[in-house]
Amino acid sequence: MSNAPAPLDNMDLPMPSPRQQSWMMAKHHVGLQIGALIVLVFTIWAVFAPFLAPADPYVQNLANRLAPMIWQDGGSWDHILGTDGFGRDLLSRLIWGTQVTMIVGFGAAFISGVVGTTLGMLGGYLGGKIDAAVIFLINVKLAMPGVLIALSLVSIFGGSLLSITIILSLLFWDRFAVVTRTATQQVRTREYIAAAECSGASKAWILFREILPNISNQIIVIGSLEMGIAILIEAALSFLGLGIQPPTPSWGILVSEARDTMFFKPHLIVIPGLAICILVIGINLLGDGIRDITEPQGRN
Amino acid sequence: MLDTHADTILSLRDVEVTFPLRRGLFSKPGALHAVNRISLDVQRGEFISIVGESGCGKSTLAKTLLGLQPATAGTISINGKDLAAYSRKDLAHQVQPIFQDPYSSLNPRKSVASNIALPLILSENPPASEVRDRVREIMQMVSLPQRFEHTYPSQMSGGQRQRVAIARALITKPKILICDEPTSALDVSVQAQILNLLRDLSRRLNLTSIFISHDLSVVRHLTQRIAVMYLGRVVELGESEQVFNSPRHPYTQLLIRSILPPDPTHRLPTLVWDGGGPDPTNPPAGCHFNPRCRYAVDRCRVELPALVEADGQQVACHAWADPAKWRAAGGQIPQLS
Repeated sequence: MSNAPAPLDNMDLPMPSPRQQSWMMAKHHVGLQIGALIVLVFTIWAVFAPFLAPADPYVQNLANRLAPMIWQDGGSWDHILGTDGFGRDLLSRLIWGTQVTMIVGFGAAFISGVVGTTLGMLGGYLGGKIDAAVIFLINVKLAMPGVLIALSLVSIFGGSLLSITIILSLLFWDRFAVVTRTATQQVRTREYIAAAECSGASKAWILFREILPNISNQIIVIGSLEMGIAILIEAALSFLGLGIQPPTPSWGILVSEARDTMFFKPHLIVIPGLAICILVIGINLLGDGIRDITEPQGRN
Repeated sequence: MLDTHADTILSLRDVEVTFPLRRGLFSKPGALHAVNRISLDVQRGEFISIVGESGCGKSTLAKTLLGLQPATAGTISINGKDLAAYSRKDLAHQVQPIFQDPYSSLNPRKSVASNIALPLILSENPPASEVRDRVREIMQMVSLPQRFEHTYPSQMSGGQRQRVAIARALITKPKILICDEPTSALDVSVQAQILNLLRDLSRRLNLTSIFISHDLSVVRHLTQRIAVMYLGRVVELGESEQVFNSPRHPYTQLLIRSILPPDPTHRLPTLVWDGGGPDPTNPPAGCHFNPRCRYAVDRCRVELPALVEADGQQVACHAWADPAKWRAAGGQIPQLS
């Protein structure tokens, strides 16, 4: 009778690092994969628009107006998605429009995220008069009719890419501030904050190194929501003629321009509308997925 | 009685911590005396525990000793220097905390190694290689295998997390350890491990430990001295065994009687004179314990007893201040059984 081999002691194996664990979870997270794929495709479109667009998005050809898509009768490879009311190539305008739409969406979410998170964390951590000031600002913002203010600001400052991005970020910071303020108040009472204070951590260290990583989940979720809403509102403003000004191809402008012909050529309005819809869904799926795989409680 | 011994590391004199209270818009603002004129000397290398029920101010005292909550009156000196005179970083080399809840005392977003290294990085900021070596050294000291280095607190058990918290507290080589109920969130089987670890480390590193607990049975074999707190005041202070064998203050006797023996045939102790918890915002006049005390006489409801020496113990009770006079006046001497 031979000696049985000693059982493998699993306890001595190194534990997987957090990056390995996140990766293992990402491999089984379908929502994250779909969201990442959508955002990746649109990002590639935006970055490489000059190389991917088959034609110049501004060149008009009135002789070839409202050309059909390739799978319709009379469609040609010159204009895969057909042409719009001025004879411009729709696919090229869609690809170039990705750039504008994504800059506005990411830009507005980023700026409002920085402003709102800073205010919310300062109010939540420091409390007292600073918190009262932050709550006052939030209440003022919530009392204002956002879209009306945006409309009037656009009419004052014009519809350039920069001004639209900044105006939209003024619309969205309040939700970041409300959520991060509450989350900071919760995290602040944890004993690891007291432990860091006992070791002489500065306020900046506690805010950025101890609290911020622990509320990043909420920020990611709000950020992805706001990014989607920013894209929708930019489209709405453009549709009303107050956003990015034509002939710049933004998705909202594509929808706006197509409304004259929507009963004869519905694809002109459906395709950019679908693009907006898919991108917003993709961003939200990606945000939720990132939250799921980085959440420490989810690592089990 | 309270003379400053040559090797006194921590000295409290009439320390008070008061929180202002505002009950309503029109009522008079009150005050909560969480810690009320506490004087205490702790010797270097001593393991002293502070016991008392919830709300007696023991955790506030811990926060004050850690410099997280300023004292409203009185002085605290560490190594002869006033606590307020220490910079935060110097204080981190003197006093470090171990908190109650290991699920809340470790940053869930940081690995075990970076949780442990935090006080070291904040106070000395040595090169990364030295940080790694010292983290490994301290992990070995608290019996945490090195494979836990890169794991996250959420992957660990309560006992393992508390070891991480102990390692973090010890990495700056502090002189004083403030343990605020370090075992009350743990399973009984793990409690003993953590207590033994704390005792061994205290001896090995010549640490001064202040152990705060509501559980007398935990501290009995662990500590040299016990201070019993009631509503912000020390009511009894003495050598551990002496306090257990001959408790003087009726409150200490009540606490000792409420320890559950590990014997299933015993019934729950009957605590005949427990009239419910006190209201710390509105403490009773005289001795704070008098509404729950079966020995209380009229004097107890008027006059606050001072902490006086009685056979090597200090007791704040009129009965023990002068037992002969107390008996002559018809009073009964508090007895354990």
